[in-house]
Amino acid sequence: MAPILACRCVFLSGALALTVATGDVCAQETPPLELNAHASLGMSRSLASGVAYRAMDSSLVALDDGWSGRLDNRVGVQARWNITPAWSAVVQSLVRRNGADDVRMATPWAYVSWQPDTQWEVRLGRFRQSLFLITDSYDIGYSHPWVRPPAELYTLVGESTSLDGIQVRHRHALGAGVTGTLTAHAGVTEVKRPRYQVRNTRNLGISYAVSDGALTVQAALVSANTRMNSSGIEQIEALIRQQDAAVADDYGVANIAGQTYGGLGLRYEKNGWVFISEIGATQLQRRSMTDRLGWYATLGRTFGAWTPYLSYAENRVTGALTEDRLGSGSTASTANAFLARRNTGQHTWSLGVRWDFQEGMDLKVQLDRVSPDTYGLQGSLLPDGRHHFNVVSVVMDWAY
Amino acid sequence: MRFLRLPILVIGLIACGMPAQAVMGQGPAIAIVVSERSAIRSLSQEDIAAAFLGMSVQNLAPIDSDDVSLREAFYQQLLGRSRNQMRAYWSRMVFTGQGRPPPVLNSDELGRVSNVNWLSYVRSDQKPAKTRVLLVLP
Repeated sequence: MAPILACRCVFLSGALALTVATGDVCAQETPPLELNAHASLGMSRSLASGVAYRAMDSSLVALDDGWSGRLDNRVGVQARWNITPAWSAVVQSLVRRNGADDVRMATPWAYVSWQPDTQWEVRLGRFRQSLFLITDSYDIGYSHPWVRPPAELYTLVGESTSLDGIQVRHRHALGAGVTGTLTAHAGVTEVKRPRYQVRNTRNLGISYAVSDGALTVQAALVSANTRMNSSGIEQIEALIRQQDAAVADDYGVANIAGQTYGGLGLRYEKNGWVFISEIGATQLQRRSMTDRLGWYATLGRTFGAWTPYLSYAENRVTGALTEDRLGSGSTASTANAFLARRNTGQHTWSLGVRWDFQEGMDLKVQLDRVSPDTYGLQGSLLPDGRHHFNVVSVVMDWAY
Repeated sequence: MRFLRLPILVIGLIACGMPAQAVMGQGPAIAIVVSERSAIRSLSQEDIAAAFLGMSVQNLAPIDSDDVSLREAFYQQLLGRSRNQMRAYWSRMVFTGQGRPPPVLNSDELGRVSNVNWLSYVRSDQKPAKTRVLLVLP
């Protein structure tokens, strides 16, 4: 009898259970196929009429004052084929409304993994980069305290999170119970949306995380060469080029070298408390792309199945929002108007509660108070007299 | 910010006045056990925590108990986390390919596990045959 059939294996994931009457218990026998799934089902709305809330400034998905699940509804399925103890293949599919406002199936993960021992792993294929703490698990609502990760930080990386390439991970002990994890990747990524197309022709990243089980601290840096098509930016570039070619080069996005993204985050989870804070920044090498900084801090406390939390998040433009190299003519006015609309600065207070009403399922209710500096992530000014607006969300998450 | 004053005050009063389940939890005494054939003679509590979070670089094979109340007490004492928090943690690990949760077994089956590197926990007064106690959680 094959070894896997000679014993009884029980897995928490429920992926596989093989039973015979007697024999050794091979608890560490890995099932040949593991299936997991996750889903989020939610309704949310802006509490202000005439204000469309966006969780990502590059996305067309906006939330108006009618209840809608367009922002949070999604379902994902993962299949892992354990070919040998060292080799495995993973495919994860995700159905959600993408940045083009279309409900489509995407494949954020599809890779072959080689794990020669407990320390090393090499992945070849498609994977999500580990720039911020939650970049790689962004869509797994059940694993987060909030309804959705803070937009002020996570809008910095947009939808360019899945890469095609190679990822290497090394895990090592740093002391009693303290583990360091070094992750490096090299690859390419491409996102096509109606308003723009962006391709990272070379995306290199490195992250290092230290964890003692309760506290995790992670630092990450990503460098990318980018080719972008955006009719809005190209029109501005063409207009400026008629007056000053050197300034126009600062707006051209057809070929950009050395864009960098950095992130620093910590997560503490112990004795009922959870505290998560991250900061990230961009250097995108072009005035037309506007460098930004985002950060947030979230504090929550668990009482049985209930976890109330409070979060503050801020997005700030660190790049120039004015153009003073073109004099005072109409070209300068157009460039300044363009840059003004790139001001995504805003801050948000979020108050919510997570209720783990059943194993593997939660229900979250969250109220956000969003205060844009001007346009914010919404890309439009608030109606006269308004300095903020509220968003209410009710979401159920499930993971198996 | 004014709209948040009352909810924050309520949460603050609750947080200060009510101990979390983790603090209240006074569960059964829990013994960390390995196979009597295991070469492991001692492990720190931190090493055990790393193993049950899937972060150990040692060749340890953690096994969860099918006793739900014991499992809850174990994770509260070892990591200060509830079963729900651990479930959320493992969902993050599984869907990012960083690990899978420990398999679940009845304590009576531990003595028959073929892999000698397994690591588990039992009620301290119910040590199964063919197992050795490494430490008892305080």
